[in-house]
Amino acid sequence: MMQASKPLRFIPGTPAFWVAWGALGFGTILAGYHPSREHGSSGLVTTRGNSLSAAESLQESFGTIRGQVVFAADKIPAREKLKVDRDQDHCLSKGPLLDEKWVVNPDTKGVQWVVVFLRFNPGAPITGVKAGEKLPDAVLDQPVCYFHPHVLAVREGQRIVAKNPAPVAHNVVITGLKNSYNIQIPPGGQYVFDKGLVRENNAIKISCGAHPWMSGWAWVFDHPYFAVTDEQGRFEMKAPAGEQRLVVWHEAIGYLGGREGRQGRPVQVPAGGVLDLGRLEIKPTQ
Amino acid sequence: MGALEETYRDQRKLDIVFALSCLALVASMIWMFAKDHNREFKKVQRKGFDVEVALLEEQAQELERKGRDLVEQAEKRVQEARSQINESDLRELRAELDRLLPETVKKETELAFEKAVRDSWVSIRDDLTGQYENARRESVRQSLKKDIEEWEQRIADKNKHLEQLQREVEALQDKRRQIQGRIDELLAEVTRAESELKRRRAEQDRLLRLAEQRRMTPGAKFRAWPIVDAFNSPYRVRQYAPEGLTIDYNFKQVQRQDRCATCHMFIDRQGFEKAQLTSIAEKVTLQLGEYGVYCNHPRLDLFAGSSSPHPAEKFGCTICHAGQGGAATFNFAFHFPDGGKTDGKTLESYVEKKQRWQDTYHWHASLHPDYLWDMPMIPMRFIESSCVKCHHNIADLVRTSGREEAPKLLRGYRLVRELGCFGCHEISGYKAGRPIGPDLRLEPYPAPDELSPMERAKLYNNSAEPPGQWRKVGPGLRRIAEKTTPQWTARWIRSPRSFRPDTRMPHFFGLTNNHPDQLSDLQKDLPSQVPEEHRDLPDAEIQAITFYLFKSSEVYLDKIRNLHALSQAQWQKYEDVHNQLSALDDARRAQPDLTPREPAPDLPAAMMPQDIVDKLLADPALMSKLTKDQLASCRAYLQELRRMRRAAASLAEKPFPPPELLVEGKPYAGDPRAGRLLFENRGCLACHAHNQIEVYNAEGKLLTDSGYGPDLSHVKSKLGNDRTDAAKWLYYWLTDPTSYHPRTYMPKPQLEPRERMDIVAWLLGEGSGSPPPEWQSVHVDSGNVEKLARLFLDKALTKSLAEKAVRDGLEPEDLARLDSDEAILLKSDKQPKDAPAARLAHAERLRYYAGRKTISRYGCYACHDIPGFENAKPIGTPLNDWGKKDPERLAFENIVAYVERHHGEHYDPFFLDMLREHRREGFLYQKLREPRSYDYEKLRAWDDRLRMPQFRFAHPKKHRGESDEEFARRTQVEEQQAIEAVMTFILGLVAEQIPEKYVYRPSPDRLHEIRGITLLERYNCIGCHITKPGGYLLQLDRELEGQTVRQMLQDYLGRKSDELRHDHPFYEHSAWRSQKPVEGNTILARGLPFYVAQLPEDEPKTVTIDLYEALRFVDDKRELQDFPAGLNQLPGLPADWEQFPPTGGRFTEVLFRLLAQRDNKDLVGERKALLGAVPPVLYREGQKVQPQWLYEFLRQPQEIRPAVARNLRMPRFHLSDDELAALVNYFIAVDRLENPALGLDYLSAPPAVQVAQGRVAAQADYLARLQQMGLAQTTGAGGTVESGVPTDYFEVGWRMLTDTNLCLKCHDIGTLTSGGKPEERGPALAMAAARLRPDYVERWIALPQRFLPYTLMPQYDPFFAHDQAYLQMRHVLAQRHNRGALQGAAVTGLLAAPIWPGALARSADEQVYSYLASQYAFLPLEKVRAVRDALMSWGYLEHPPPSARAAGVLRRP
Repeated sequence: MMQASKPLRFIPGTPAFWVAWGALGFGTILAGYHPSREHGSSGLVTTRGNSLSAAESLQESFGTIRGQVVFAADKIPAREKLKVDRDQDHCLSKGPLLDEKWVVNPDTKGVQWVVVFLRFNPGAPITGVKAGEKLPDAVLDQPVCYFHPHVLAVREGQRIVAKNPAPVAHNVVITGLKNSYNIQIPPGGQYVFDKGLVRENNAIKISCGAHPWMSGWAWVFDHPYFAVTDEQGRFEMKAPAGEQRLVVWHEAIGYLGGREGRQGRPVQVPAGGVLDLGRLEIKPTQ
Repeated sequence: MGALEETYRDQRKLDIVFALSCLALVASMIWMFAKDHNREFKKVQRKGFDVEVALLEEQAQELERKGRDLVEQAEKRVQEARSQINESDLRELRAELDRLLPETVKKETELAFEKAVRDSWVSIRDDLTGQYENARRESVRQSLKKDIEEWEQRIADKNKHLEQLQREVEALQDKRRQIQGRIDELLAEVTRAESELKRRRAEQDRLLRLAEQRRMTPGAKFRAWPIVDAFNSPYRVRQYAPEGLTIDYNFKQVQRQDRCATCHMFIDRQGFEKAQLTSIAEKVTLQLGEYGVYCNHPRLDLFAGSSSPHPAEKFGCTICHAGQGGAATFNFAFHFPDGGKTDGKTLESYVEKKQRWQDTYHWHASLHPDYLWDMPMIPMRFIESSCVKCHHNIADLVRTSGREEAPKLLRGYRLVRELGCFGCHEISGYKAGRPIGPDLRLEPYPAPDELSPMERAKLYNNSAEPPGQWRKVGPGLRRIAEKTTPQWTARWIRSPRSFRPDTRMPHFFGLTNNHPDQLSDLQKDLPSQVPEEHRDLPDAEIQAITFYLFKSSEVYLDKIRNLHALSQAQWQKYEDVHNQLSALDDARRAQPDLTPREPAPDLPAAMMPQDIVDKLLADPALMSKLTKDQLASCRAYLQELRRMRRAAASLAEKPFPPPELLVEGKPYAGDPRAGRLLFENRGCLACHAHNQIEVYNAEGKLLTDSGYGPDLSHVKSKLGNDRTDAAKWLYYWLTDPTSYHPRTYMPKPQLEPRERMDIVAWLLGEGSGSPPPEWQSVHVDSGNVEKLARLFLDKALTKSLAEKAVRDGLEPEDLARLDSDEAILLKSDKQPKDAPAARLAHAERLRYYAGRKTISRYGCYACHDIPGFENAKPIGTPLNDWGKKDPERLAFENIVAYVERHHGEHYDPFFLDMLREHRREGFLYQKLREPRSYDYEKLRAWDDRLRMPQFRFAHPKKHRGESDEEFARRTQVEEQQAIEAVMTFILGLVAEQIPEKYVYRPSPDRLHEIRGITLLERYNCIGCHITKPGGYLLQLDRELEGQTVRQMLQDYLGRKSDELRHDHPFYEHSAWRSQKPVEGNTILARGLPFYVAQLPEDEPKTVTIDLYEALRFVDDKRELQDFPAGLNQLPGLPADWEQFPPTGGRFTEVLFRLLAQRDNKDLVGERKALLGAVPPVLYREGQKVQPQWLYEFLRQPQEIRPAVARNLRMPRFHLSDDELAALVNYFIAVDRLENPALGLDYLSAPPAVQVAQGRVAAQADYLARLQQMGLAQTTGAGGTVESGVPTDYFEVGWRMLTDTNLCLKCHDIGTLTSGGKPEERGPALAMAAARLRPDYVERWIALPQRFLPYTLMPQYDPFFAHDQAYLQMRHVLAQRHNRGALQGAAVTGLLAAPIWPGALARSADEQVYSYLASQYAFLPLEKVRAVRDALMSWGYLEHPPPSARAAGVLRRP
């Protein structure tokens, strides 16, 4: 469904539309959201690292967790060229598509697309967020036959705008345990998941039926304490002070620490301070 | 004499006597009352009332509490609502309302007043008009006319004024209404809450009243007192007298009176579940046994309940449970203990329960002969056997939803079918032409399929006893000489399970009555020849059987070869003779006198048919001399010849390697790796197992163990050591199994020659394992065949003749009948020409004879097709009415001694008692367990001994990670369960004549369904396909992690997009709205569970299902909620809640897992693609496809989905026309379609002829529909659609179809292909017009996932968007390019204007226009319909539009 309030903006053909998606598509894709500052804050660092300003008040009940996920083996896996056998005109127009399973920065060995989040008891009060607060839209873009962001981390109920700026049709196939969609998006169109997705305890696969090489992942949380690493493998997030359990997930290895890692490892979040976890090492095989 | 003072007797004495007798009378009365007061049932009922009161009070309290809670909640909500109202706003509004009131009233009054004035003026005018019309004088008329005009004027003015007033009043009223509306809006929440409160108060009152009613009234209490209770007691005998159900007293049928409800007082009442009783157990001190007395019947929705299909008033109790219904005491009712259970948990064992009964009721007394009752209660473990009485089809105990209502019985029935019990034991469903039970009979020979239509019709027209329908369960042995070796066969007969542990073939040898080590003391002590017999004869029997099988097979193959060698002209002679014989037969039927009674001298009675036929060939004139019998046997012989000539050539004549395998002159040897892949993908695993391919499900259960076909792990050792022979046989078997055995269930796998060779290479190469180690120790010695033959001969002939036969053979005069088995032993020169024995040496003939006799004795032909036994009668006891067989007629022999000696403690005490008491159940159990054990300590001649073989009923496979001990234990338990299941079925075969109204008579739909279920099982269609999703019983009120299921559903639904909840107007469809009424708190969710590994141990085991049908439930606010199927899953259901699995689809899961493993795919995230690659789910198939198409497809399957796993293809089944039609009807019937396709009715008649006509009718009907819509002419002006955008309907439809961004992205359409790999492609669309039903297409295009949650077909947003933006875009398009812009001519104009950058850049691209034109020309549903009609008109259009022509659509002739 297109957005009713600003119809013209999203109509293909209007300059506004192109400006909008162009800006969004390659600039700041996944806009972070600003939880209310009424009772403290919990921030989210987006994939691109454009961190949100932390809340000034009630610093004592929150701290910051930051760190960098780095690749621990010597040989950095090469990003393979994906086999593109359809719509090559468009899909290869920006150069060959590369596999995004391991995106490792050769200099810093930082691993991109790692999800770091707190294992948070379902139903535990989420302070710092006003009930019913409107979250900003998350965007799932498909610029040239790949999903961007490759790993989409959102809150439950957060509106998701799936875009297709390409001149070919894509379909967004979301296959999780609680979420199942398969939506065809016409060229230049978009589809809005107006109530977002439902929380799941696992990663949700995103694919495209027409272009089988396209692959992405989504995480849906019912709390705001999560982050996705940037190109340097860095992440930063706000977290409630005290002992928390931190989980690290990557698509190739699953949870860091295997099955036990699923429950996370304990971390002590200092009130008003910063917990720097330094370098979190992951290996290609566990 | 005057009167004397004295009496005749002494008064005083008399007084004493009187007093004493009074006392005695009183005492006896007291005794009587006491006795009556203490009658067994009154005691039970007294406590029953206590139980009832306690339970009702408990409920009343609960109800009161609940009512209070409800009211409290509602009150709270009212207060909350009130507190949120902005009081000042409300005040203001109310003040405004009040302010307006006087003015409004004033105006209204004024209006009314003015109206009255106007009305009076009107009447004045009317009066004047009247005068005017009556007036004669012109002057008067003139003045009157003037007056009238004046009044008219006034009235007109007044009317204007009135209108003005009216407007003012309305304006005022409007204003007030608006204000009132705003007030209402403000108060809405309060009003809602208040009405809720009111409703809940009413509910509370109702609950309180109910609670009050449930307490025992004082009157009833009084009537329950001793003595008083003898008169109008609340305790009384309650009885059911089910009309027409009788007890068979041999000479008289007596009406049943079931008094069971006297003690089982609450049997049909809600709220008396065992769990409820537990809650009051302490209050009324319920004893263990009393739960069973006072609880209600389980599954009241199914049994006993007044709205169930079996209400107690109508059916009574003993019809299912047996026992003596008229009794009102425990013992006389003939209860039988069977271990107590509560909520599925075993409370006490059989022994404990029996002991308790003996202690409490002196129960053993009821087994005393004085009490004898022929029909004691059926032990609970066999209770399902009663279903058979009325449910003759058995399969009708499977619900449409797939739920099995009598699982044990169904299992038993399936086991009997699979193991072929009916081969030896006839199970006929008819008695004197009336159906009496399930019908499991062997089909006649030759099979109806092989008869001419006329002969077949004759066979089926016998409605009193239609022919049997079941094929023999074992492989045909007619061509065994081609397949394997005598050595292997002999060892196999000796011990089949040593070679293949899970074979269905039972053991005939090495059992208690023919094993040298298993002799009883009695036998050992006797100086007889018993040990010798045990050593010699079994091996002799095996050798003889093997010899017979191979010899007769060779003879048969030779005959075929000879018949094939006959030229057409030579063969024609046989045909001619046959035709003449047929003509003669007809002529004689007309004139019976023509038949000679005695055989002619040159055609003696002893002459074999083959010799007669030879004579007839030479001299047809002899024909008239044939007797009736001779004529019939000659005809049968000739028909047999005809069948043999039709049979496939013997392997010896076939080349190997066949020419199709020659590549440049060299044979293709086959690629084992490709073979293995084929074996996995093609579907072989749906029926066959192989130990190199093992797939386990999430629970660790082996999935690749279908049990339908044989395990092929070491088939090589069976096919013989000669690799070429084995390969040859296997190759031709895979080419067409029916050419080897016409009645095999194996379908034609539709493999390419090279593929066949690949599989052969694998199965005989890398894929061939060695048989289990125990196979090595199986040896068969030569045995003493002569002695064996002598055994039979001694019975058939005199001693001297027998000796002669063994020595050098018999003369024809020695035999009374030349077609007896002994004729085999005729001297070689006396043998009939064609007889198999003719070319054997004498010693071989003896063997052949012994083999034939042994096969007759063991009844091998019950399961196998063996030459010479085509019409042999079954050897076992018929089971039609075994369930009521008199135990007196069962030979229990020394069985108790046997069991005690051999099993002792380990024997089930229940069955041991049953054996001791000589009950059927005991006999049957031991018979199935160890059939030969009834020979224990009996001295019997060798050939009088018991022959029933030893079956293995369950073949469990080891679970992953299961230890040997666990597995051994489970094996035992499963075998026991399987035996009990078989018993349940057999005990149900009572052949009782039940009145018509009790017998289940399925509706036509249901009948088609039942027939279909049977066929789907018989051909193992359900091995590959899921035909029904599973079911999950959701109890809405049960708590799950702190919230009820109801809340969970609501919550989950609330988090889903509204659009996904109400996304398309197909409300009547079961995917959107549940068609089932909401009943109580349990709803049935139907869906497929995900085949995923369970999450780690720390998380509770849960099931997530993809919903296939909408769910309807009542939410907290008591509103109906619908949970549409498809895009919604039901996650996190506890795995231990009641559920039933999907029907079929074992192979679906096997392949799903294999593919995931092979391509390293994620079972959850990539399940859609994986499920798209396995055999499709056949749910809603009837809604989806046209019956004609389905019929043709089943007959000759073709590829539909390119996306299914490489190599997977539907095989071609060997189905008769009737079976094809039955399957088609099944799919229509399960979907309850009244109008299956385009106005065609059911395929009731064999549809082979109808198909062509049907298609013509369908086309005509479709065109008529199009014409009705005004759409038939498709070029030029075209039709207009609702939107008012004039365009060419079909052109737009076709443009969308051929748009590379839409349909053409994945589907091929005619000459346009989509590209991409096969697994990314959908079915070719050219099929759609003939295959799919239009209404299905419409829904499917709009929202495919609603129907098939896993489909990769996307949901295309603009097909169902009702979006402002969309409409605006339409507007923009229309504004810019006029209303006709989208017509074909304006393409360039449209493209000239930049709509979007891509369009500019690729302005010449036809696709851009195509996209936009199709995109915005129609409203969403119109688009769907345009695509649908374009698709469905494939080939039907008079003038296909340009884009259709491009897609290669030509008009069909």
